[in-house]
Formats: sequence, C-alpha cells, structure tokens
Amino acid sequence: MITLHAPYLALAIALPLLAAVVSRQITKERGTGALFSAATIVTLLATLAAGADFAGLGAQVAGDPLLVRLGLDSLGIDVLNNALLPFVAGLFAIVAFAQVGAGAPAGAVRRTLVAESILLALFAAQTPAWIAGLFAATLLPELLRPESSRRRSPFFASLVAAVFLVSLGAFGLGRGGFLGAAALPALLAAVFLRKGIFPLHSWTLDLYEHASLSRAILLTTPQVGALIAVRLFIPNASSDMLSLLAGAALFTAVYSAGLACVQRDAARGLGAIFVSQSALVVLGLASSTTIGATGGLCLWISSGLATAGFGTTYMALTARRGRLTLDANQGGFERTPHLAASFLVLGLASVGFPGTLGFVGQEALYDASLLDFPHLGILVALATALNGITVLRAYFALFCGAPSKPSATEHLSRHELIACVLLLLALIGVGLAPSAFLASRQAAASLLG
Amino acid sequence: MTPETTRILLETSTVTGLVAPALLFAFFSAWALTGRPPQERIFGAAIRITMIVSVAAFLLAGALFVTSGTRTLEVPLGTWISTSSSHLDLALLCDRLSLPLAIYSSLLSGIVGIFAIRYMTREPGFTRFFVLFALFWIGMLLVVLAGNVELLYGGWEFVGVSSALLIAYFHERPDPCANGIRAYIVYKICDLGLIAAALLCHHWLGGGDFNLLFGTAAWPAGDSALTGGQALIIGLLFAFSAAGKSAQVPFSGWLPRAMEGPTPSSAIFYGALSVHAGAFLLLRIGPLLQQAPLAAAAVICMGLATATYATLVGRVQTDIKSALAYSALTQVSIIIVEIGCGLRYLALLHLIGHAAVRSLQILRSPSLLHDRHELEDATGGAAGTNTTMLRPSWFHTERLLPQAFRRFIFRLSLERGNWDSALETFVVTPFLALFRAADRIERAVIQRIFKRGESS
Repeated sequence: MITLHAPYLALAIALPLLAAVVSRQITKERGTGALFSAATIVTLLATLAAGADFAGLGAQVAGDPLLVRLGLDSLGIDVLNNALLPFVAGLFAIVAFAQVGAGAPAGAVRRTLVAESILLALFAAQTPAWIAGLFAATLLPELLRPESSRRRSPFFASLVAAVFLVSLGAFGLGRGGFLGAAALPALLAAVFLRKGIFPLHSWTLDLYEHASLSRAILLTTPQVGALIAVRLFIPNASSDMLSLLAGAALFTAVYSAGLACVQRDAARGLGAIFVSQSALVVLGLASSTTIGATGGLCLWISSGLATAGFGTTYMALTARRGRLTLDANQGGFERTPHLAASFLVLGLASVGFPGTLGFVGQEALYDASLLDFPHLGILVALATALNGITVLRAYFALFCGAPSKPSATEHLSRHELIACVLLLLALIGVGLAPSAFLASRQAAASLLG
Repeated sequence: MTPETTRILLETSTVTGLVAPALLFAFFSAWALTGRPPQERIFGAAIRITMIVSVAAFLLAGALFVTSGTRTLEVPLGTWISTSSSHLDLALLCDRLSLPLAIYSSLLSGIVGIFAIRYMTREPGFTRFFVLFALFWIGMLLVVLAGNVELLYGGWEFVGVSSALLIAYFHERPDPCANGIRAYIVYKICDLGLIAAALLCHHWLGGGDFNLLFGTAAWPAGDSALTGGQALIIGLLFAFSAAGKSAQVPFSGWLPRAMEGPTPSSAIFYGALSVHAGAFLLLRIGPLLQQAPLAAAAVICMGLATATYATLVGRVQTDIKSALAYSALTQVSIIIVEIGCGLRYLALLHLIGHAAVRSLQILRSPSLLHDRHELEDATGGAAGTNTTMLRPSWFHTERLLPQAFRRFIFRLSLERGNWDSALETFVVTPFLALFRAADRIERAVIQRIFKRGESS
C-alpha cells in the first residue's frame, strides 16, 4: 500500500485526543480555550500537510505510515477526503479560534476535541465496517454530556436512529436475504436522517434553536450524512433510489428556504438556511452526472465553511447581546461595523453570492440540472434567492435600527476578525480561481460512478 | 498599427477600464477594515484617479474600435470553470452598445462620486457609502460589458445588493431598511428570470455566450440559432428579469421607496444607471426580440402600461424625489417601448440623454428646495408659479373624461395603483401564511414526540 511520507493523518487524528487528555490538567478556562484553539490549528495544518503529501504521490488512495504499522490500514487518504479532512479540521479551528479569549468550559472543550478526533477518523475510513463503527462512535461525545440534555433532544434521537440504520446498512451491503435487501433502504433512511432531508429535517432547526450555536455548527456543518451517502449509499444505489433522494433534496432546499423566511428566532433561521443550502449538496451528489457530483462536493465544502463563518459572527453577536430575534430592528451597527460587515458577507457567501466558492458549486449544479431535470433547475435558484432574502433580512434586523445606548464595546476581537477575514479570503480566492479546486473535486466525483 | 497590436491594445484598455473600479473597491474595503476614520481628500483623489483611468481606457478602446473598423470584439478573461463535462470561459464583449455605455457609466459614476464626497461630508457611514458605491460601479460595468449571461448575472447581483444596502443607508430609521429589503426581494425574484434564461441558453445552445445566442453579427444585428418558440421563451424570461431592475409593472412599487437613500446614490442608481439596467438588457437581446414578435409585443405592452401608470402617479406626488422617480420611470418605460418596436439606436440615445438629465435633476433636488426656501425668505412670501407656463383651458383634454372616472384615476394614482397591496395580498401573505403554518406544525410535532415546552 502506498503511504504518506510522514504520519500526518495519525497526527491529525491523535492530536485532538491528546489535547483532550492534557486539558484535564488545566484548571483555568482561558488556558483551556488557548489549548483548544492551538490543538485545532495544528490539527488543521496536519490535515493540510496530509492533503499536499497525497497530491504529490499521484495515487488514488494512500495510507498513513504509522497507522499502517499499527494495522489500521482501513484509515487512509484518497481523492475524496483529501479536501474533506482539512475542511472538517478547518471547521473546528474556526469555531475554536473565534472563541479564544471568551473562555470555554473544560468539559465542553474535551467533548469537542474528542468529537473532532472521531470525525477525522470517520472521514478517513475506507471500508463500510470502519465507517459504521466510527459513525457509531460519534455518539460518544453525546454520551459524555449530562443525561438531562439528551433525554428530550431530537438530535440525539435522530443520531441514535441513524447509527442503527448505518450499522444495518453497512452490515447488509453485499449480502443476500433480508439483510441484503434492507441495506440500501436503511442507508437511504440514514442519509435522510443525518443530512436533514424532508421530512426528517426538523431536528436540525431544533438543534440550532436550542443548543449552543458552536455545538450546532460543529454537529451539522461537516455533513456526516453526505459522507454516508458518498461512501456507502450512492455507489450501490439504483437510479430510482438516487432520483428519490435528489427529488427529496430539491424539495427540502425550497421548503427550508421558505421556512427560513418566516423564522423569528435568528439561530433557527440560520439553521433553516443551512438545511436548505446543504440539501443542494445531496442534490448534486445524487445527480447522474460528474458535473453534478462535482458541484455537490464543491457546495459541501463551501456551504459548510461559509455557514460556520456566518454562524461564528452570529455567535460573536450573541456573546455580546444574548439571544436575538428577528422581530424588530435592534440597532448597534455603529458599535460593531466589522461584525456587521462580516455577518453580511459571510451570509451572502453561504448562499452562493457571485465571486465566492458557493457560486462555483451552484453553477456546476445548474449545469447538472440541465441534464437531470431541466425544468426543475430553476428551483435551485429559487431556494438560493429565498435564502439570500433571509440573510439580508437578518442583517437589517440584527444590526440596523435606532442607535441604542452606549454599552460595553461590541467590536470584534482580533482573533474573531482574523478568523472572519481568513475565511472570507479563502471563499473569495477559491471562488475567483476555482480551477484547481474543481479538478480535485471532479477526481473525487469520479469515485461516485 | 497591425490588427494584432490593435486587438491587444483594445483588450488591454477594456480590461483596465474594468479593473480600475475593482481596485477602488479593494481600496475602500481595506480602509473600512482598518477602522480608520475616512479622509475625504484621499477618497476624492481615489475616485478622480479611478474615473480618469477608467474613462480614458474606455475612450482609447472606443477610438481604436472606430479607427480599426471593428464592429464587435470578444475580450477573453480566461477559463473560470473547466471540467471534463463542463467548460465556462468568461469574456467581455465590446461593441456599439457596450463601449458607449461603459464610457458613460464610468464618467457618470465618477462625477457622482466626486459630488458625493462633498455631499456626504462628516456623514456617519461615509466609508460604507463609498464601499457600496464602488461595488455598484464594478457591477454596472460588468452588466454592460458582459460577454455571457454568467458574467452579466454577477454584475446584476452586485448592482442589486449595493442598491438594497444603499437604500437602507440611513438604517437607524425602520423605513429605509424595510424599503431596502423590499427592493432586494423584487430583484431576487426577477433574477430568477435571468437564471432561467441562462439555463435554457445552456440547454438549447450549449452555453451562455452572447455570441452563441446572437451569432457573430455585430449589434444591433444578430442571427440567433434559436427557433421562434425558443426565442419567445428566452425573450420573455429576460423581459421578466428586466422588469424587476427597471421597476416595470407590477414591480414598480420599490422605485419611489428607493429614494430613501442618500441623494447621490439615488441619482446614480434610480436616475442614471441602475434603473436603466433592465432597458440595457432588453437592448442587448434586441435581436432575440426581433426574432420573437410576441416577446417584442409583450415588452411594448409592459412599457406602455408602466409609462401610463408612472405618468399618472407621478402627477400626484408631493415630494420632489418621488416625482422625479416616477418621471424617470415614465421615460425608462418609453425607452422600453422603443426597444420593443426595434428602434434600438433611438433607445440607446434616449437612454444616455435621459440618464444624464435625470441624475442632474436628482442631484440638484435638495439644493433646489434649499434655494426656494431662501427665495421665499428673501421675498417674504411663497415663491410664485410662472403663470405663463399654465396651459389654456382647451388644452386640458382630460376634462373630456367623466368626472367620476377622473376622480377614480386620481385616487388610484394617490394609492400608486395599489400594486404593492395587490402583491402583498395575493403573493406575499399566502406565501408567508403557508410557511408559518408549516413551521407551527413542525414545532408541534417535535413538542408532541419529545414532550417538552417551547423553551426547553
């Protein structure tokens, strides 16, 4: 088996776990926060190094030298996850970096670091058994939470159900009898559940409304449901099943965009926009064309990154003002112009504004829609138009209005500003010159057949 | 000069004209990012330099265009998307339509920008205004110079978002924000026409390049490869999109509301350039309208209906900017009628002349009121009306209409045709009611299954 030149992948998976262990020795919240951000940034660098090393090898799949020596050769890097691993690590780094200085409860940081480690391993997994096992392991951080927070959580219930369905599907793939027949329907249901496709999407909106936003972002934006789809479901699914998935995803995109328009709670509105945009990812992946799958893979990363950035700016605002609604204009632009501008630009980027990476993915999706469903392609545009309107409405509601009394400064901290600017530069830079990125996603799309 | 040198010079000067406002946008954005207070002298110098460079570059391109006898030239910007199954090259299109309008757009944007430096002095949000102003400048040039639908859409979006944000410039009051979002909703819904047209162009022609759509014949001629039916559908979709940007009925309600923004942005957007973007789009697709008489007829009807509506409503307005908005709308609608009738050169001249006059009127409107107040203070009474301008009684042909009908028209005009309330009653309210009901059902289901209150 071809291996990377250095154990970057092993480092990326192990480092967050190690940081979680070390964090037990740190008593101050500030120190925990610094460790959290340092660990996530180094992990991001390790995944970027792994991606660059893999690109240099010119192979379809490569193992990690340390993991291979340990017998874990089912974890590796290939043309699909070479961009997804830095993407996942990047999401954690954005959230952690934006929280530096704000202080973070040690327990939450530990659970998040454990979750990052499991997710990176899951995205690196190459076989159905490992994917199912590591997907089941994503329950672990949830089980470490107090029982009262799980008891009435639609997210936890949906995750448990999805774990069961993925296990059933992965076990049944390639077998005969009942298990074999049930495998693909079970995987389809798991994708509907974990990806938040109508009618199994409500947990996502509920999570955004009731959980902390950083948690909601990290649980949804990596889009584990899409991973299940591309690794287990799509390569084995019939065209009818793919059509069903694509149709449901298109309906979800429009329906959820409509829901976003009527939300009063800003966080729930953000959740609805995310459900809508991420449904387009599934639409692309389930497309019968390479360009559609390429668009879906592009949108996977662009919608995840932009939503994480968009959510981070909203998180920064709630840290200063508390829970916010969209009922009336709340003012405050003059106190925090950078935060307002970041919120608006990242919000527009999350819905595919021209010049950003999201627009590239949507353009590819439009191309694919011509081949798959030429008369319904306009619904993709309708969904993004409605989401764009919601973003602008939220911007006006949260930042515009009569100047309120001077209070403590609401300016973005240096860390938050750097996180927003770097993210924007990445989204715009790749959006303006997307060729290399598209080529990488096209290579990944070819895996889907 | 060899043809090759001419071509290279033409391409370089066209790209330079476009890059100049892009650099201005980057400069203003970087300034905003530093959080430093604006320096009016530096901002003014930046706008002057940008205007001089951009206008000079486009003038050079125009001069080369004329002297070399070129009728149309595609300026490649490179490959934007390239995969095994899809390929999208971006290109600018220089022809008799785009170059005059590019020169004009940069000149007018520069002049209004210089005016705005003085007008917006010490205004909170001074830097924000110029960031959005520069974004509009780029957007307008992209719309005018776009060689394919994708690039045009990019510019169209830049113009739309900068327009909405400048309408809401005085965002401490609720009305500008409400009007900004209203304008943006109209833009986004009507943009669907542009996207649908682009999709169909790709479907039927294999791409969104205008050269594919209209053939190699130079504007205003064109030999589209589309069938009559296809030309009709695409023409109607473009017309729908143009109706939003140029405030044609039933989407006219946003235009007077858009006057909430600062006067310089009102002048450049709703007097000069943005409001004419729809007319420009129809000029660009003129050859398509020629091929589809039904689409041309629809454009004429739309223009006539809006012109009639705008002239009636404009006559009962009591504030100067609303009156100017409806006057502008009347003229834009007449331009659209001219385009529908195939009078494309007349429409182009009308567009340029009207944009110049109207932006001047809007820029002058605040000081006009100020001057009038001063005059009244000086004379100690109301400034009189020039009675020599009053029309003789026989000229009032409207008096031939029954009084009840005239009263009905007057009331309807005061209510601005009730278009806004009709759209709200029949489109917006049912849409929102549907999704509010869906949201309520979802919450109730979650509550029932997980047995918890709203606040859990």
